[in-house]
Amino acid sequence: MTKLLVVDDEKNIRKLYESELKREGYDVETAESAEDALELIEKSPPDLVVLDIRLEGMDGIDCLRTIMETRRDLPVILNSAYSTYKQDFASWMADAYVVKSADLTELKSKIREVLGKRGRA
Amino acid sequence: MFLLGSAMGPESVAVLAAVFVVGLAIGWSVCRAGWKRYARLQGDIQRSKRQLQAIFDGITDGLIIVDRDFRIVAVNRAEASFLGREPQDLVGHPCYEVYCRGESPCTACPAHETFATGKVALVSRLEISTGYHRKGVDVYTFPVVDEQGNTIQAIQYIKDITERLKLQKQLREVEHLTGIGHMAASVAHEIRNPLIAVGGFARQLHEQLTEDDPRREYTQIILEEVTRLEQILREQLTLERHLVPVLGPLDVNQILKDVRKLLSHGILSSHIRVEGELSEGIPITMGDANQIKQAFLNLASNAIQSMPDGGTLTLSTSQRGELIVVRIADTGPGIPKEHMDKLFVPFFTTRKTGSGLGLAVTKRIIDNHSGTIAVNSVVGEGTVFEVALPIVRSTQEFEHRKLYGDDGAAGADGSTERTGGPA
Repeated sequence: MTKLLVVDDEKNIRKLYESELKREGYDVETAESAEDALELIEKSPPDLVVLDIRLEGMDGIDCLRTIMETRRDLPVILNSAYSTYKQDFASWMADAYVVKSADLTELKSKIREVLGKRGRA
Repeated sequence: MFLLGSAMGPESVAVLAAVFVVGLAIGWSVCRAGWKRYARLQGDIQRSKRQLQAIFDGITDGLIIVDRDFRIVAVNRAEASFLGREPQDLVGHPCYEVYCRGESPCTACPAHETFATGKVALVSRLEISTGYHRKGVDVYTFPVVDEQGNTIQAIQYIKDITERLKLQKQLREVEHLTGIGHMAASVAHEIRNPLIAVGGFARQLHEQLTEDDPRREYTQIILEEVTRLEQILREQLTLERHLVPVLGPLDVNQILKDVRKLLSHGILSSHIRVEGELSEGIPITMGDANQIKQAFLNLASNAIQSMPDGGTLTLSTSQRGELIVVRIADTGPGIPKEHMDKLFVPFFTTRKTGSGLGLAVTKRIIDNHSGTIAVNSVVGEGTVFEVALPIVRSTQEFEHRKLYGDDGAAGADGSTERTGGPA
């Protein structure tokens, strides 16, 4: 089963994403900080990471940099309430950028698209 | 004389006559010298008077001299002109009639204090109006004393502070709006995440209800309203991030090097060649390095996205007088004429996935740095964005430029110039 890692510091967002993505047939793990996420990736790498940007401690962009340095092949989708981070070129390293919304249709479709491109679907 | 003459000899008469003539000559000479001196003094007095009048009229702030009855003794051209009258027409009129159409001296007038104490007095932030014109003023009064030291007149110096008051008001408004903006943004951010959870779970409930369930109407309303709120918050969060610059030394060349480094990932994947020359000796200026980097990234991002099939991106710097000029050019398809005027309008975009905020935010950043952006685009050949930033050496100068601009800098009003159009 394709495994997704959702990184978000908001408990209810993690719960929502977990519930929605499980319904899509994914195995979902969650982390509330970038540090926890990196540890989980190290222990048992997921097939794709859904990464929030504004996090306590290390932020999502720095987390993305670390992932790119250590696991270049791991697909990452940035997911932020702020669309302006799209203009930060560091965010270009991610496979996709989805602005957070209560409607997860775009996020789900990006996950399918990225996994399809990377042959992990 | 006849009797005297009859008692004297002819010699004595002659001497007496001679003495009389000499006396007459001396008297004439003394009178003549006195008259000449008098005339010279008169001339000096007149010249001094004309000099004083010239000074009086040359001062661009208002000057009025009033006597103890507050009648105008003299008024300079600047003040007469503000009042819409000739100076001579105002002399003799009580100043309270002229300014306030009152029947007694205005209570706020500082001349009261000067007449009472013989000292200089000030009343600040008065507003005076002629019915047509209005100005904010500080009024200083200076005593004019007679030989006994009594204050017989007061000179009123009326300093126009309208512009200063206007700027202070604008500054207060900006500070107020900035505060509101920050507060709104932090509220927006706090609301955003709970709203996503509310909307997300409402969507799940909505999907679990059968088509004919009457509760679907309510969940539908929740979803529509959440979507509307999300849109409002999204716009709010995006625009707020660029309100207040955090100042520090700004090395434009270094920023462009950083931009180039950051670009490398995108460029490599899209077959774009980077060219350009960073001019040596570009001075360090003052500004918000992160904001300026963001502005250049936005321009370069647009340039790259305009060349999906590859092309050349040129990044260069130069110094033009007191301006640092940064050119970001692409060899993309160019910007059609009908889009040129809307380029910097928020939410204007020609791309399906564009937010339409990149250039609006860029312009705002450059405006905040008292700079200008010029665009020159030729359809089929490419587009050049030219950012001109003034060389600013201190935080004070930065703030001063933001408040007052700089006439010496081309287009320092922050306006967007269009220096060329599509072919």
